[in-house]
Amino acid sequence: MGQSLSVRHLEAWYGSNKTLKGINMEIQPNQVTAIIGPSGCGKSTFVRCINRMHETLPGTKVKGEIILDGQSIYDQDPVTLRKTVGMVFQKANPFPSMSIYENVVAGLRLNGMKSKQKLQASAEKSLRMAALWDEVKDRLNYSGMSLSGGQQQRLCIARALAVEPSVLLMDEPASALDPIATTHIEELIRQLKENYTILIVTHNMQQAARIADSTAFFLNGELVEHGPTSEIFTNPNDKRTEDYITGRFG
Amino acid sequence: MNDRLRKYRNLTMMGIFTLATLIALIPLFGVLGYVVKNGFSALNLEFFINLPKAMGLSGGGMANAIVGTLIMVVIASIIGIPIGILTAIYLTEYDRNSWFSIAVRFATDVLTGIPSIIVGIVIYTAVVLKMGHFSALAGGLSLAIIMTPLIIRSTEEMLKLVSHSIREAGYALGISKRIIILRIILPTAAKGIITGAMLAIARVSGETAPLIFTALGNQYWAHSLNEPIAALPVQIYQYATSPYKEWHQQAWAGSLVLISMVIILNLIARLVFRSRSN
Repeated sequence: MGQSLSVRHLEAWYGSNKTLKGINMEIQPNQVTAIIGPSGCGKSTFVRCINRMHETLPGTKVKGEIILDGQSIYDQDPVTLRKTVGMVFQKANPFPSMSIYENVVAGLRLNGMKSKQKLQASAEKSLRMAALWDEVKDRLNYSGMSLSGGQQQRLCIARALAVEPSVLLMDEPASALDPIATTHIEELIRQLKENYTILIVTHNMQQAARIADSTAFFLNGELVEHGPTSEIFTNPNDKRTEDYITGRFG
Repeated sequence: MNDRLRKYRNLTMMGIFTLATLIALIPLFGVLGYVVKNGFSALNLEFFINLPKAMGLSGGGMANAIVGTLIMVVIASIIGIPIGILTAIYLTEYDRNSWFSIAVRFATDVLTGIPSIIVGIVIYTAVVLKMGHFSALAGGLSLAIIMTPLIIRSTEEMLKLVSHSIREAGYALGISKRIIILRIILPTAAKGIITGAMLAIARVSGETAPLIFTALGNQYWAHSLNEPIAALPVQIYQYATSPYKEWHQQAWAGSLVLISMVIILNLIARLVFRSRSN
């Protein structure tokens, strides 16, 4: 099941550049929350804070609190946290040295799961959830790099799902894909929210409108507005949100 | 008119580039051709299985030198490849930009450019004189010192080619850094690392100067790693500078064997790098 997230006064830095300036946000379980905003507004940094990837880069700093299902993520070991909070990146990044099968179960196998039966069961389940099983079931031993761009991205989603996280972060997962592959991914996200809490960063406002239950608008490192998607797009409270939605900047 | 002038100039430039390329090829094929022409006639089965014979007797070979070279290259590889790869991992995965890693990189580059005879003198003073005798170990050690910086740099380049997004994918799955390095990054860069190692092996297998100071050479089989041992390049040097015609022939044959070893290593390295899984 998905878990709720509560973000309290989150600040983040890249060197001396403050990219998040005190974010407060409640994220509901089993919903799709879209993060929109112009380039450089801090939306990628925001999701990268939630699985503590931001702090892996040199010269970065984080302050504030993120509560996942009642527990601070900063009280957990980051490596353990990332098994609960999975992530899918903008560019599909399958492991080049591994087959499709090995890619899907990488998170399990490299963390010590040995049972072949369990691994195979997990591979099939994850690939089915990522709507990729039928396309690859006959060539699981092929290199992950042999797939098309959209298939590779779904492979990466399957790989993230195999670890059985409760939160799934997606950083512009469809921005490098063609419209058909994008439709696949969006369909998939709609199905996944039954079991996961999903945060998706997107440049594409139509995409946010299509798939998100709630939408948050970021600008210059601040959360301008967060509410039900229909409200954000039809009746925003803030002038800046309206300007962005209507294409006056960004 | 302008068009014709432009085409004429383009043609002239292309001619100059082609000519320079052809000139650059002359030494390569010249050296190869000369070695093959002189070495081939002296090459026979006995060359590979016999010891050198005393002056005046025919049918001698360089079996001990071929084996000696292999032994010392193996010693060098056992020392140089692990240290080189582990250092490169440190430089790419743990410490990319500190003053220490910059200093290590600089030292590595300097060491790569150091004339090999200097490595020979240092090992001669530090090892051969201390131990009291020339040895395969000292020879292998001097080759390892030449090899290590080559491996560090080639491995580092290959590890840097592994995209950062691959590392992030590993982290995002809750995999520890140690496992990411061992099970994801190294396999991804494996072909390049192997290629670099083979090229380094090819490079040191022809080294002569450091071995003269450390392995010395030997007309017989060495019975332990603690005695002077023959090596192909040293044997070639000693035979080629002797006054005997038959030994000159043997030196050519040795050169052909050595150059073939280097070419074969290069070819294998290329094949490894090009091969694809699936």
